[in-house]
Amino acid sequence: MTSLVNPSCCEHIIMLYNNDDERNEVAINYINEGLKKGQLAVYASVDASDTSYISERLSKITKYKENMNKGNLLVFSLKAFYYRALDGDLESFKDFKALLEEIVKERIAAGKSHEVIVVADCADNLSRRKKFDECIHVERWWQNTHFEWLRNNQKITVVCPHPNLILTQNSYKRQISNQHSLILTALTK
Amino acid sequence: MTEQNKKSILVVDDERDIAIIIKMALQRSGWAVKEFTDPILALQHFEQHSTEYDSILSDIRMPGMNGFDLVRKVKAIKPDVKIFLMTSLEISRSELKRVLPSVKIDGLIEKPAPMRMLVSLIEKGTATKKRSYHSFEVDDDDAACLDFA
Repeated sequence: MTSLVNPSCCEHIIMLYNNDDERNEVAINYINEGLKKGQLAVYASVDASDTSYISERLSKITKYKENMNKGNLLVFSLKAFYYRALDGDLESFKDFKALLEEIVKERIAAGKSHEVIVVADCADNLSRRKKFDECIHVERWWQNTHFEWLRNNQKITVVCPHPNLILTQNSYKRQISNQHSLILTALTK
Repeated sequence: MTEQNKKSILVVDDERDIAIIIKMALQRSGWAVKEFTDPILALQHFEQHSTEYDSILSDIRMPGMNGFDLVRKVKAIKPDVKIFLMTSLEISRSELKRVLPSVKIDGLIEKPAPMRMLVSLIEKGTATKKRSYHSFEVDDDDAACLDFA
């Protein structure tokens, strides 16, 4: 897998993928790289409450049980976020942001790394279902949050997978990419 | 129930309408309730009157001080006070404990949820004399929603 998995900290990354295997592989790779560097890794997925799906994903995360128990890995459901985002309601995202910032404060107090890697697929699910306006609304919020974190020197990187083909075919690739600080294209082996 | 036997709770939410609705629902179930929209004023009040309260129900995002900080400060004043946080996140108490070990709470109430469920969760979480703490722990991951409509 040759995607950039070590971007400079505090980016809002659009990771364009060509198929589901590629998306999943790259997402887990980011999580594992973050854990290796001692970062808090957050896997935030619309499918996190789907037991069979998430079990398969978690099995690919390095020492996931140990990392969860130590508070280094947080697996988070975005299902409610997705349905609220369809109505333009981003209140859940604001709670998520508050939680992340609080966890960072606590990690600093505990002498742990204050760097965070988040892989979040709510906007990806909106793209896949061609809810592009709602997707842009979510990504614009993440981008504004990214700017706020930059100003506050908070080292939080958010990786947003998006389906390359769907965005290209529907002429939304540039518009959605523009809501990010870094554009990456997945290149699996 | 006499005034002296009433359980008492401090409700903190920066949205006045929500604080009032919660207050009315809890009062209907026999609770003595005082509500605040400013967490700093709520904390100052609690410092002066901590013996009067069994429980605190707080929102997470509030200007001036967030719910997590409020919980830490309140627990430092009165360690046995029961704490309930309202959130729109789908997260269990055990997950929260792993990532935020200093924030000791007794229940998470997911927004939105019907008022009867909010009251029921608070009553369940404070009924430690009748029920074992463990039995509440088992139920804790059940998602609850707050419906303010």
